Amino acid sequence: MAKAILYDASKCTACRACYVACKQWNVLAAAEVKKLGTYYNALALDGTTWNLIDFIEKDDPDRFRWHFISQRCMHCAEPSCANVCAAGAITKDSETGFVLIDNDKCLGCKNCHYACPFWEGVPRFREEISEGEEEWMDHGNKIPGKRVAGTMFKCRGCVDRVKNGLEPACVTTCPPDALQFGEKGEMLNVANERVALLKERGETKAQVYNPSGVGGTGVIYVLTDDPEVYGLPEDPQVSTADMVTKWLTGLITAGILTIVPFWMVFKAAEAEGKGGE
Amino acid sequence: MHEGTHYWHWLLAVYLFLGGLAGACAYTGTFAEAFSKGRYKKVAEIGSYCVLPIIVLSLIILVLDLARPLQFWRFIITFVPSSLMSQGTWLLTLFAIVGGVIVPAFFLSEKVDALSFLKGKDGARKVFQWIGAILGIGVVGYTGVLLSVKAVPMWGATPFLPAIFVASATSTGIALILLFCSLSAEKDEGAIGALEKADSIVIVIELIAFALLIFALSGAGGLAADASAVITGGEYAMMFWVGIILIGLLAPLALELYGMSVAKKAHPPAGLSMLASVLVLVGGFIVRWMFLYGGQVIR
Repeated sequence: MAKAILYDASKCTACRACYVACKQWNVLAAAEVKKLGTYYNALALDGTTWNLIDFIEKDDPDRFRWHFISQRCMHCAEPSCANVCAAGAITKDSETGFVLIDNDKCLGCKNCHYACPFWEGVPRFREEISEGEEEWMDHGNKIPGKRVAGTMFKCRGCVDRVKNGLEPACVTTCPPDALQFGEKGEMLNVANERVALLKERGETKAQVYNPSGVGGTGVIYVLTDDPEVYGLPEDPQVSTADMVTKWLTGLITAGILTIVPFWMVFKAAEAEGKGGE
Repeated sequence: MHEGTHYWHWLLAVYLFLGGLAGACAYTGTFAEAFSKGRYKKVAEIGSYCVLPIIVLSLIILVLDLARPLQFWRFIITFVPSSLMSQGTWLLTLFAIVGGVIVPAFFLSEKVDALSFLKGKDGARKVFQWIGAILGIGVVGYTGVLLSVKAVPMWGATPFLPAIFVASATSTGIALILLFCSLSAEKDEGAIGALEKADSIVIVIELIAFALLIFALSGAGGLAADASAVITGGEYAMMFWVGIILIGLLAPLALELYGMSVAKKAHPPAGLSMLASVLVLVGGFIVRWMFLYGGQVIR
Protein backbone atom coordinates (compact mmCIF):
# COMPACT_ATOMS: atom_id res chain seq x y z
CA MET A 1 0.00 0.00 0.00
CA ALA A 2 1.41 3.34 -1.06
CA LYS A 3 2.40 5.83 1.58
CA ALA A 4 1.90 9.57 1.41
CA ILE A 5 3.28 12.71 2.97
CA LEU A 6 0.62 15.33 3.66
CA TYR A 7 1.67 18.97 3.67
CA ASP A 8 -1.00 21.29 5.05
CA ALA A 9 -0.27 24.82 3.83
CA SER A 10 -2.88 26.19 6.24
CA LYS A 11 -0.88 24.90 9.22
CA CYS A 12 2.64 25.67 7.98
CA THR A 13 4.44 28.52 9.78
CA ALA A 14 7.39 28.47 7.37
CA CYS A 15 9.87 27.77 10.16
CA ARG A 16 11.86 25.61 7.72
CA ALA A 17 12.64 22.94 10.26
CA CYS A 18 11.72 20.39 7.54
CA TYR A 19 14.44 21.83 5.35
CA VAL A 20 17.04 21.54 8.10
CA ALA A 21 15.89 18.05 9.12
CA CYS A 22 16.22 16.89 5.51
CA LYS A 23 19.75 18.26 5.29
CA GLN A 24 20.72 16.66 8.58
CA TRP A 25 19.25 13.22 8.06
CA ASN A 26 20.49 12.97 4.51
CA VAL A 27 23.92 14.49 5.25
CA LEU A 28 23.48 17.27 2.69
CA ALA A 29 25.70 20.33 2.71
CA ALA A 30 24.13 23.69 3.53
CA ALA A 31 23.15 25.76 0.51
CA GLU A 32 24.70 29.09 -0.16
CA VAL A 33 22.04 31.73 0.42
CA LYS A 34 21.63 35.28 -0.79
CA LYS A 35 19.82 38.04 1.01
CA LEU A 36 16.91 39.00 -1.22
CA GLY A 37 15.04 41.17 1.25
CA THR A 38 12.59 38.37 2.03
CA TYR A 39 12.60 35.31 4.24
CA TYR A 40 13.33 33.23 1.19
CA ASN A 41 16.18 30.95 2.07
CA ALA A 42 17.63 28.37 -0.28
CA LEU A 43 16.74 29.86 -3.61
CA ALA A 44 15.77 26.73 -5.46
CA LEU A 45 15.80 22.97 -5.24
CA ASP A 46 19.23 21.64 -6.12
CA GLY A 47 21.39 18.56 -5.73
CA THR A 48 21.76 19.13 -1.98
CA THR A 49 18.41 20.84 -1.31
CA TRP A 50 15.59 18.32 -1.58
CA ASN A 51 12.87 20.40 -0.01
CA LEU A 52 12.38 24.07 0.62
CA ILE A 53 9.68 26.46 1.73
CA ASP A 54 8.59 29.00 -0.85
CA PHE A 55 7.03 32.30 0.24
CA ILE A 56 4.28 33.75 -1.94
CA GLU A 57 2.80 37.20 -1.40
CA LYS A 58 -0.72 37.64 -2.75
CA ASP A 59 -2.78 40.80 -2.73
CA ASP A 60 -6.36 39.53 -2.48
CA PRO A 61 -9.17 42.09 -2.80
CA ASP A 62 -10.15 41.77 0.85
CA ARG A 63 -6.74 41.29 2.45
CA PHE A 64 -3.07 40.70 1.87
CA ARG A 65 -2.04 37.07 2.18
CA TRP A 66 1.20 35.28 2.71
CA HIS A 67 1.22 31.72 1.39
CA PHE A 68 3.79 29.05 2.13
CA ILE A 69 4.44 25.89 0.16
CA SER A 70 6.89 23.05 0.57
CA GLN A 71 8.61 22.45 -2.76
CA ARG A 72 9.77 18.86 -3.09
CA CYS A 73 9.47 15.73 -5.20
CA MET A 74 5.80 14.85 -5.47
CA HIS A 75 6.42 11.08 -5.76
CA CYS A 76 3.90 10.73 -8.62
CA ALA A 77 1.98 7.49 -8.96
CA GLU A 78 3.01 7.61 -12.64
CA PRO A 79 6.42 9.30 -12.57
CA SER A 80 7.45 11.03 -15.84
CA CYS A 81 11.08 11.00 -14.70
CA ALA A 82 11.10 7.19 -14.52
CA ASN A 83 9.38 6.95 -17.91
CA VAL A 84 12.07 8.97 -19.68
CA CYS A 85 15.15 7.50 -17.97
CA ALA A 86 17.07 5.63 -20.68
CA ALA A 87 19.35 4.02 -18.11
CA GLY A 88 16.46 2.61 -16.09
CA ALA A 89 17.90 4.34 -13.04
CA ILE A 90 14.60 5.68 -11.66
CA THR A 91 12.14 3.28 -10.10
CA LYS A 92 9.09 3.35 -7.89
CA ASP A 93 9.56 1.56 -4.61
CA SER A 94 6.82 -1.07 -4.51
CA GLU A 95 6.45 -1.00 -0.75
CA THR A 96 6.20 2.77 -0.17
CA GLY A 97 5.46 4.20 -3.63
CA PHE A 98 8.44 6.54 -3.34
CA VAL A 99 10.24 7.40 -6.57
CA LEU A 100 13.95 6.64 -6.18
CA ILE A 101 16.99 7.46 -8.29
CA ASP A 102 19.70 4.82 -8.31
CA ASN A 103 22.69 7.13 -8.66
CA ASP A 104 24.98 4.27 -9.55
CA LYS A 105 23.00 3.76 -12.77
CA CYS A 106 22.39 7.45 -13.53
CA LEU A 107 24.50 8.90 -16.37
CA GLY A 108 23.66 12.54 -15.74
CA CYS A 109 21.82 13.15 -19.03
CA LYS A 110 19.23 15.37 -17.20
CA ASN A 111 16.34 13.98 -19.20
CA CYS A 112 14.36 13.45 -15.97
CA HIS A 113 14.74 17.09 -14.96
CA TYR A 114 13.03 18.28 -18.13
CA ALA A 115 10.31 15.62 -17.99
CA CYS A 116 9.17 16.46 -14.45
CA PRO A 117 6.04 18.66 -14.41
CA PHE A 118 6.66 20.06 -10.91
CA TRP A 119 8.76 22.90 -9.51
CA GLU A 120 10.56 23.58 -12.80
CA GLY A 121 11.81 20.00 -12.81
CA VAL A 122 12.53 18.36 -9.46
CA PRO A 123 15.56 16.12 -10.15
CA ARG A 124 18.65 18.32 -9.95
CA PHE A 125 22.23 17.74 -10.96
CA ARG A 126 25.24 17.48 -8.67
CA GLU A 127 28.75 17.87 -9.95
CA GLU A 128 30.47 16.80 -6.74
CA ILE A 129 30.00 14.61 -3.71
CA SER A 130 31.42 15.64 -0.36
CA GLU A 131 33.83 13.42 1.48
CA GLY A 132 32.33 10.49 3.30
CA GLU A 133 28.96 10.97 1.66
CA GLU A 134 29.08 7.96 -0.67
CA GLU A 135 28.64 5.19 1.83
CA TRP A 136 26.42 6.53 4.58
CA MET A 137 23.05 5.91 3.02
CA ASP A 138 23.00 2.13 2.84
CA HIS A 139 22.18 1.33 6.47
CA GLY A 140 22.35 -2.31 5.49
CA ASN A 141 18.79 -2.40 4.14
CA LYS A 142 19.53 -2.84 0.44
CA ILE A 143 18.11 0.47 -0.67
CA PRO A 144 20.06 1.85 -3.64
CA GLY A 145 21.52 4.89 -1.96
CA LYS A 146 25.08 5.27 -3.16
CA ARG A 147 26.01 8.87 -3.88
CA VAL A 148 27.75 9.39 -7.19
CA ALA A 149 29.17 12.63 -8.60
CA GLY A 150 27.70 13.79 -11.91
CA THR A 151 24.22 12.39 -11.32
CA MET A 152 20.72 13.59 -10.43
CA PHE A 153 19.34 13.99 -6.92
CA LYS A 154 15.99 14.60 -5.27
CA CYS A 155 13.88 13.69 -2.23
CA ARG A 156 13.88 9.95 -1.46
CA GLY A 157 10.99 10.12 1.01
CA CYS A 158 13.52 9.02 3.65
CA VAL A 159 12.81 5.53 2.40
CA ASP A 160 15.51 4.21 4.72
CA ARG A 161 13.68 5.60 7.78
CA VAL A 162 10.27 4.49 6.56
CA LYS A 163 11.41 0.91 5.99
CA ASN A 164 12.63 0.89 9.57
CA GLY A 165 9.32 2.02 10.98
CA LEU A 166 10.05 5.75 11.24
CA GLU A 167 8.47 8.75 9.50
CA PRO A 168 10.43 10.85 7.02
CA ALA A 169 12.73 13.26 8.86
CA CYS A 170 10.81 16.37 7.74
CA VAL A 171 7.55 14.94 9.12
CA THR A 172 9.05 13.93 12.46
CA THR A 173 10.48 17.39 12.98
CA CYS A 174 7.52 19.57 11.88
CA PRO A 175 6.48 21.58 14.98
CA PRO A 176 2.92 22.57 13.94
CA ASP A 177 2.15 19.14 12.40
CA ALA A 178 1.77 20.72 8.98
CA LEU A 179 3.53 17.59 7.71
CA GLN A 180 2.00 14.19 8.37
CA PHE A 181 2.80 10.74 7.10
CA GLY A 182 0.84 7.53 6.66
CA GLU A 183 -1.07 5.31 4.26
CA LYS A 184 -2.20 7.29 1.25
CA GLY A 185 -5.91 6.61 1.83
CA GLU A 186 -5.62 7.71 5.43
CA MET A 187 -3.78 10.90 4.48
CA LEU A 188 -6.44 11.71 1.88
CA ASN A 189 -9.11 11.38 4.57
CA VAL A 190 -7.20 13.72 6.87
CA ALA A 191 -6.77 16.19 3.99
CA ASN A 192 -10.44 16.09 3.02
CA GLU A 193 -11.57 16.62 6.60
CA ARG A 194 -9.20 19.54 6.94
CA VAL A 195 -10.49 21.12 3.73
CA ALA A 196 -14.08 20.76 4.96
CA LEU A 197 -13.11 22.50 8.19
CA LEU A 198 -11.26 25.28 6.35
CA LYS A 199 -14.27 25.87 4.10
CA GLU A 200 -16.47 26.14 7.18
CA ARG A 201 -14.11 28.82 8.43
CA GLY A 202 -14.55 30.79 5.23
CA GLU A 203 -11.54 29.56 3.20
CA THR A 204 -13.62 29.23 0.05
CA LYS A 205 -10.70 28.15 -2.12
CA ALA A 206 -9.42 25.45 0.22
CA GLN A 207 -8.66 22.27 -1.70
CA VAL A 208 -6.74 19.00 -1.74
CA TYR A 209 -3.98 18.77 -4.36
CA ASN A 210 -3.51 15.19 -5.56
CA PRO A 211 -3.55 15.66 -9.37
CA SER A 212 -5.02 12.79 -11.38
CA GLY A 213 -3.02 13.53 -14.55
CA VAL A 214 0.03 11.94 -12.93
CA GLY A 215 -2.04 9.22 -11.28
CA GLY A 216 -2.14 11.08 -7.98
CA THR A 217 0.90 11.99 -5.91
CA GLY A 218 2.73 10.61 -2.92
CA VAL A 219 2.91 14.15 -1.57
CA ILE A 220 -0.57 15.54 -0.97
CA TYR A 221 -1.15 19.22 -0.32
CA VAL A 222 -3.91 21.03 1.50
CA LEU A 223 -4.01 24.46 -0.16
CA THR A 224 -5.98 27.58 0.72
CA ASP A 225 -5.86 29.06 -2.79
CA ASP A 226 -5.69 27.85 -6.39
CA PRO A 227 -2.69 25.64 -7.29
CA GLU A 228 -1.23 28.27 -9.68
CA VAL A 229 -0.87 30.71 -6.77
CA TYR A 230 1.64 28.29 -5.29
CA GLY A 231 3.42 27.68 -8.59
CA LEU A 232 1.74 24.31 -9.03
CA PRO A 233 0.35 23.23 -12.42
CA GLU A 234 -3.42 23.00 -12.31
CA ASP A 235 -3.56 19.80 -14.33
CA PRO A 236 -0.08 18.25 -14.66
CA GLN A 237 0.27 15.37 -17.09
CA VAL A 238 2.69 12.50 -17.44
CA SER A 239 5.04 14.11 -19.95
CA THR A 240 5.31 10.96 -22.07
CA ALA A 241 1.51 10.47 -22.14
CA ASP A 242 1.12 11.94 -25.64
CA MET A 243 4.30 10.40 -27.03
CA VAL A 244 2.39 8.54 -29.74
CA THR A 245 0.65 11.75 -30.94
CA LYS A 246 3.99 13.51 -31.11
CA TRP A 247 5.63 10.67 -32.99
CA LEU A 248 2.68 10.78 -35.38
CA THR A 249 2.98 14.51 -36.08
CA GLY A 250 6.67 14.00 -36.76
CA LEU A 251 6.11 10.97 -38.95
CA ILE A 252 3.13 12.47 -40.77
CA THR A 253 5.28 15.47 -41.62
CA ALA A 254 7.98 13.11 -42.79
CA GLY A 255 5.57 10.86 -44.61
CA ILE A 256 2.94 12.92 -46.29
CA LEU A 257 4.46 16.38 -46.31
CA THR A 258 8.01 15.40 -47.21
CA ILE A 259 7.79 12.23 -49.25
CA VAL A 260 4.99 13.60 -51.45
CA PRO A 261 6.93 16.66 -52.70
CA PHE A 262 9.95 14.42 -53.28
CA TRP A 263 7.81 12.06 -55.23
CA MET A 264 6.28 14.85 -57.31
CA VAL A 265 9.59 16.55 -58.03
CA PHE A 266 11.69 13.51 -58.80
CA LYS A 267 8.93 11.74 -60.69
CA ALA A 268 8.66 14.80 -62.92
CA ALA A 269 12.44 14.91 -63.21
CA GLU A 270 12.42 11.29 -64.33
CA ALA A 271 9.91 12.06 -67.06
CA GLU A 272 11.90 15.11 -68.18
CA GLY A 273 15.11 13.07 -68.14
CA LYS A 274 13.53 10.50 -70.42
CA GLY A 275 12.25 13.18 -72.78
CA GLY A 276 15.76 14.63 -73.06
CA GLU A 277 17.47 11.35 -73.76
CA MET B 1 13.29 30.70 -13.43
CA HIS B 2 16.67 29.66 -12.12
CA GLU B 3 19.58 29.89 -14.52
CA GLY B 4 21.28 27.12 -12.54
CA THR B 5 18.91 24.53 -13.97
CA HIS B 6 19.55 25.31 -17.64
CA TYR B 7 21.37 22.04 -17.93
CA TRP B 8 21.13 21.45 -21.67
CA HIS B 9 23.60 23.51 -23.68
CA TRP B 10 24.91 24.11 -27.18
CA LEU B 11 26.45 20.65 -27.41
CA LEU B 12 22.96 19.18 -27.40
CA ALA B 13 21.84 21.66 -30.07
CA VAL B 14 24.74 20.45 -32.25
CA TYR B 15 23.74 16.87 -31.56
CA LEU B 16 20.09 17.42 -32.52
CA PHE B 17 21.18 19.25 -35.67
CA LEU B 18 23.65 16.57 -36.76
CA GLY B 19 21.29 13.70 -35.99
CA GLY B 20 18.60 15.30 -38.13
CA LEU B 21 21.08 16.06 -40.91
CA ALA B 22 22.43 12.51 -41.10
CA GLY B 23 18.96 10.96 -41.13
CA ALA B 24 17.75 13.33 -43.82
CA CYS B 25 20.80 12.72 -46.03
CA ALA B 26 19.95 9.01 -46.06
CA TYR B 27 16.30 9.34 -47.02
CA THR B 28 16.73 12.32 -49.37
CA GLY B 29 19.12 10.28 -51.49
CA THR B 30 17.01 7.15 -51.33
CA PHE B 31 13.84 8.98 -52.37
CA ALA B 32 15.63 10.89 -55.13
CA GLU B 33 16.91 7.68 -56.67
CA ALA B 34 13.78 5.58 -56.15
CA PHE B 35 11.23 8.15 -57.35
CA SER B 36 13.28 9.04 -60.43
CA LYS B 37 13.63 5.31 -61.22
CA GLY B 38 17.40 5.42 -60.87
CA ARG B 39 18.14 8.59 -62.81
CA TYR B 40 19.50 10.25 -59.65
CA LYS B 41 21.54 7.37 -58.30
CA LYS B 42 24.39 9.86 -57.87
CA VAL B 43 22.30 11.84 -55.36
CA ALA B 44 21.77 8.70 -53.29
CA GLU B 45 25.49 7.93 -53.44
CA ILE B 46 26.50 11.41 -52.25
CA GLY B 47 23.83 11.27 -49.54
CA SER B 48 25.01 7.88 -48.30
CA TYR B 49 28.62 9.06 -47.91
CA CYS B 50 27.48 11.97 -45.73
CA VAL B 51 25.84 9.72 -43.16
CA LEU B 52 28.72 8.03 -41.35
CA PRO B 53 30.93 11.03 -40.51
CA ILE B 54 27.93 13.04 -39.32
CA ILE B 55 26.39 10.24 -37.28
CA VAL B 56 29.70 9.33 -35.65
CA LEU B 57 30.26 12.96 -34.71
CA SER B 58 26.75 13.22 -33.27
CA LEU B 59 27.21 10.00 -31.25
CA ILE B 60 30.49 11.33 -29.85
CA ILE B 61 28.72 14.53 -28.84
CA LEU B 62 25.86 12.57 -27.27
CA VAL B 63 28.32 10.65 -25.11
CA LEU B 64 30.35 13.73 -24.23
CA ASP B 65 27.21 15.53 -23.15
CA LEU B 66 26.64 12.95 -20.40
CA ALA B 67 28.01 13.82 -17.00
CA ARG B 68 29.44 10.29 -16.83
CA PRO B 69 30.49 9.47 -20.42
CA LEU B 70 32.27 6.27 -19.46
CA GLN B 71 28.98 4.81 -18.23
CA PHE B 72 27.52 5.10 -21.74
CA TRP B 73 27.20 1.33 -22.00
CA ARG B 74 24.26 1.51 -19.60
CA PHE B 75 22.20 3.02 -22.42
CA ILE B 76 23.14 0.14 -24.68
CA ILE B 77 22.26 -2.67 -22.26
CA THR B 78 18.92 -1.09 -21.35
CA PHE B 79 15.85 -0.61 -23.49
CA VAL B 80 13.13 1.52 -21.95
CA PRO B 81 10.30 1.82 -24.53
CA SER B 82 8.78 4.87 -22.84
CA SER B 83 12.08 6.77 -22.94
CA LEU B 84 12.79 8.77 -26.10
CA MET B 85 16.47 8.83 -25.13
CA SER B 86 16.42 5.05 -25.13
CA GLN B 87 14.48 4.81 -28.42
CA GLY B 88 16.95 7.29 -29.91
CA THR B 89 20.01 5.37 -28.78
CA TRP B 90 18.72 2.27 -30.52
CA LEU B 91 17.57 4.10 -33.65
CA LEU B 92 20.93 5.86 -33.94
CA THR B 93 22.87 2.65 -33.47
CA LEU B 94 20.88 0.73 -36.08
CA PHE B 95 20.91 3.71 -38.44
CA ALA B 96 24.68 4.12 -38.11
CA ILE B 97 25.17 0.45 -39.05
CA VAL B 98 22.71 0.32 -41.99
CA GLY B 99 22.73 3.90 -43.31
CA GLY B 100 26.28 4.75 -42.27
CA VAL B 101 28.16 1.56 -43.10
CA ILE B 102 26.22 -0.99 -45.19
CA VAL B 103 24.65 1.34 -47.79
CA PRO B 104 27.83 3.32 -48.58
CA ALA B 105 29.73 0.01 -48.77
CA PHE B 106 27.51 -0.98 -51.71
CA PHE B 107 28.27 2.29 -53.49
CA LEU B 108 31.99 2.03 -52.73
CA SER B 109 32.13 -1.54 -54.04
CA GLU B 110 32.37 -0.09 -57.56
CA LYS B 111 35.61 1.69 -56.62
CA VAL B 112 37.16 -0.35 -53.82
CA ASP B 113 38.41 -3.86 -54.55
CA ALA B 114 38.05 -5.08 -50.99
CA LEU B 115 34.30 -4.56 -51.29
CA SER B 116 33.96 -6.16 -54.70
CA PHE B 117 31.80 -8.95 -53.25
CA LEU B 118 29.02 -6.35 -53.05
CA LYS B 119 29.53 -5.12 -56.60
CA GLY B 120 26.52 -5.11 -58.88
CA LYS B 121 24.16 -6.29 -56.15
CA ASP B 122 21.72 -3.48 -56.83
CA GLY B 123 18.69 -5.30 -55.47
CA ALA B 124 20.29 -5.85 -52.07
CA ARG B 125 21.57 -2.27 -52.05
CA LYS B 126 18.08 -0.91 -52.60
CA VAL B 127 16.65 -3.04 -49.79
CA PHE B 128 19.27 -1.72 -47.36
CA GLN B 129 18.74 1.81 -48.67
CA TRP B 130 15.06 1.61 -47.81
CA ILE B 131 15.80 0.20 -44.38
CA GLY B 132 18.33 3.01 -43.90
CA ALA B 133 15.80 5.59 -45.10
CA ILE B 134 13.15 4.35 -42.67
CA LEU B 135 15.65 4.34 -39.80
CA GLY B 136 16.72 7.82 -40.95
CA ILE B 137 13.15 9.07 -40.69
CA GLY B 138 13.06 7.51 -37.22
CA VAL B 139 16.24 9.32 -36.18
CA VAL B 140 14.98 12.63 -37.55
CA GLY B 141 11.60 12.20 -35.86
CA TYR B 142 13.24 11.25 -32.59
CA THR B 143 15.27 14.48 -32.40
CA GLY B 144 12.00 16.41 -32.32
CA VAL B 145 9.94 14.02 -30.21
CA LEU B 146 12.76 13.88 -27.62
CA LEU B 147 12.19 17.52 -26.72
CA SER B 148 8.44 17.46 -27.18
CA VAL B 149 7.70 14.87 -24.48
CA LYS B 150 8.99 17.19 -21.78
CA ALA B 151 7.26 19.37 -19.21
CA VAL B 152 8.63 22.41 -21.04
CA PRO B 153 5.82 24.48 -22.63
CA MET B 154 7.63 25.59 -25.79
CA TRP B 155 8.63 22.00 -26.57
CA GLY B 156 5.74 19.97 -25.31
CA ALA B 157 2.58 22.08 -25.00
CA THR B 158 1.73 21.50 -28.68
CA PRO B 159 2.44 18.53 -30.96
CA PHE B 160 4.13 20.69 -33.64
CA LEU B 161 7.76 20.68 -32.56
CA PRO B 162 8.46 17.28 -34.18
CA ALA B 163 6.91 18.59 -37.43
CA ILE B 164 9.27 21.58 -37.43
CA PHE B 165 12.27 19.40 -36.65
CA VAL B 166 11.43 16.92 -39.41
CA ALA B 167 10.86 19.66 -42.00
CA SER B 168 14.01 21.50 -40.91
CA ALA B 169 16.14 18.36 -40.92
CA THR B 170 14.86 17.38 -44.38
CA SER B 171 15.72 20.82 -45.67
CA THR B 172 19.27 20.63 -44.24
CA GLY B 173 19.73 17.14 -45.68
CA ILE B 174 18.71 18.33 -49.13
CA ALA B 175 20.93 21.40 -48.72
CA LEU B 176 24.03 19.37 -47.84
CA ILE B 177 23.57 17.06 -50.83
CA LEU B 178 22.84 20.09 -53.01
CA LEU B 179 26.06 21.67 -51.80
CA PHE B 180 28.10 18.59 -52.71
CA CYS B 181 26.30 18.32 -56.07
CA SER B 182 27.15 21.97 -56.80
CA LEU B 183 30.79 21.41 -55.82
CA SER B 184 31.08 18.17 -57.78
CA ALA B 185 33.22 18.17 -60.95
CA GLU B 186 30.58 16.44 -63.10
CA LYS B 187 27.66 18.67 -62.31
CA ASP B 188 24.20 17.29 -62.88
CA GLU B 189 22.02 20.34 -63.53
CA GLY B 190 18.90 18.19 -63.50
CA ALA B 191 19.67 16.88 -60.01
CA ILE B 192 20.47 20.36 -58.73
CA GLY B 193 17.25 21.77 -60.12
CA ALA B 194 15.17 18.93 -58.68
CA LEU B 195 16.81 19.22 -55.25
CA GLU B 196 16.20 22.97 -55.21
CA LYS B 197 12.59 22.45 -56.12
CA ALA B 198 12.11 19.81 -53.41
CA ASP B 199 13.83 22.03 -50.86
CA SER B 200 11.65 25.01 -51.68
CA ILE B 201 8.53 22.91 -51.01
CA VAL B 202 9.97 21.63 -47.72
CA ILE B 203 10.80 25.22 -46.67
CA VAL B 204 7.18 26.22 -47.23
CA ILE B 205 6.08 23.24 -45.11
CA GLU B 206 8.49 24.33 -42.39
CA LEU B 207 7.04 27.88 -42.45
CA ILE B 208 3.55 26.42 -42.04
CA ALA B 209 4.74 24.22 -39.16
CA PHE B 210 6.24 27.28 -37.44
CA ALA B 211 2.99 29.19 -37.88
CA LEU B 212 1.01 26.28 -36.43
CA LEU B 213 3.32 26.04 -33.42
CA ILE B 214 3.13 29.75 -32.65
CA PHE B 215 -0.64 30.00 -33.08
CA ALA B 216 -1.19 26.87 -30.99
CA LEU B 217 1.17 28.05 -28.24
CA SER B 218 -0.20 31.57 -28.00
CA GLY B 219 -3.76 30.26 -28.19
CA ALA B 220 -3.15 27.83 -25.32
CA GLY B 221 -2.65 30.69 -22.86
CA GLY B 222 -0.73 30.53 -19.58
CA LEU B 223 2.87 29.40 -19.71
CA ALA B 224 2.51 28.22 -23.32
CA ALA B 225 1.57 31.75 -24.40
CA ASP B 226 4.52 33.13 -22.43
CA ALA B 227 6.74 30.65 -24.24
CA SER B 228 5.49 31.78 -27.65
CA ALA B 229 6.13 35.40 -26.65
CA VAL B 230 9.77 34.49 -25.96
CA ILE B 231 10.26 33.73 -29.66
CA THR B 232 7.88 36.19 -31.26
CA GLY B 233 8.66 39.26 -29.19
CA GLY B 234 10.98 38.40 -26.34
CA GLU B 235 14.52 37.28 -25.65
CA TYR B 236 14.75 35.08 -28.73
CA ALA B 237 12.73 37.23 -31.15
CA MET B 238 15.80 38.46 -33.05
CA MET B 239 17.10 34.93 -33.45
CA PHE B 240 13.68 33.75 -34.60
CA TRP B 241 12.70 36.50 -37.06
CA VAL B 242 16.13 37.26 -38.48
CA GLY B 243 18.10 34.05 -37.91
CA ILE B 244 15.42 31.50 -38.72
CA ILE B 245 12.62 33.13 -40.72
CA LEU B 246 14.69 35.57 -42.79
CA ILE B 247 18.14 34.01 -43.15
CA GLY B 248 17.23 30.34 -42.71
CA LEU B 249 13.94 30.15 -44.60
CA LEU B 250 12.91 33.14 -46.74
CA ALA B 251 16.35 33.98 -48.17
CA PRO B 252 17.14 30.45 -49.41
CA LEU B 253 13.56 30.10 -50.64
CA ALA B 254 13.96 33.28 -52.69
CA LEU B 255 17.33 32.14 -54.04
CA GLU B 256 15.94 28.75 -55.01
CA LEU B 257 12.86 30.24 -56.66
CA TYR B 258 15.05 32.69 -58.57
CA GLY B 259 17.37 29.85 -59.61
CA MET B 260 14.44 27.81 -60.87
CA SER B 261 12.97 30.73 -62.82
CA VAL B 262 16.19 31.52 -64.69
CA ALA B 263 17.03 27.83 -65.20
CA LYS B 264 14.45 27.69 -67.97
CA LYS B 265 16.47 30.12 -70.07
CA ALA B 266 20.07 29.73 -68.96
CA HIS B 267 22.21 27.84 -66.44
CA PRO B 268 21.88 29.64 -63.12
CA PRO B 269 25.20 30.46 -61.47
CA ALA B 270 26.33 27.61 -59.20
CA GLY B 271 27.08 30.11 -56.46
CA LEU B 272 23.37 30.74 -56.09
CA SER B 273 22.41 27.23 -55.02
CA MET B 274 25.56 26.96 -52.89
CA LEU B 275 24.61 30.10 -51.01
CA ALA B 276 21.06 28.83 -50.55
CA SER B 277 22.42 25.54 -49.17
CA VAL B 278 24.69 27.25 -46.68
CA LEU B 279 21.85 29.49 -45.50
CA VAL B 280 19.58 26.47 -45.01
CA LEU B 281 22.26 24.68 -42.99
CA VAL B 282 22.93 27.74 -40.82
CA GLY B 283 19.19 28.30 -40.36
CA GLY B 284 18.66 24.65 -39.43
CA PHE B 285 21.26 24.91 -36.72
CA ILE B 286 19.68 28.12 -35.37
CA VAL B 287 16.33 26.27 -35.17
CA ARG B 288 17.86 23.71 -32.77
CA TRP B 289 19.72 26.41 -30.85
CA MET B 290 16.69 28.66 -30.41
CA PHE B 291 14.37 25.88 -29.25
CA LEU B 292 16.93 24.38 -26.88
CA TYR B 293 17.71 27.66 -25.14
CA GLY B 294 14.44 29.50 -25.68
CA GLY B 295 12.41 26.59 -24.31
CA GLN B 296 14.26 26.70 -21.03
CA VAL B 297 13.29 30.33 -20.39
CA ILE B 298 9.71 29.43 -19.46
CA ARG B 299 9.15 26.35 -17.32
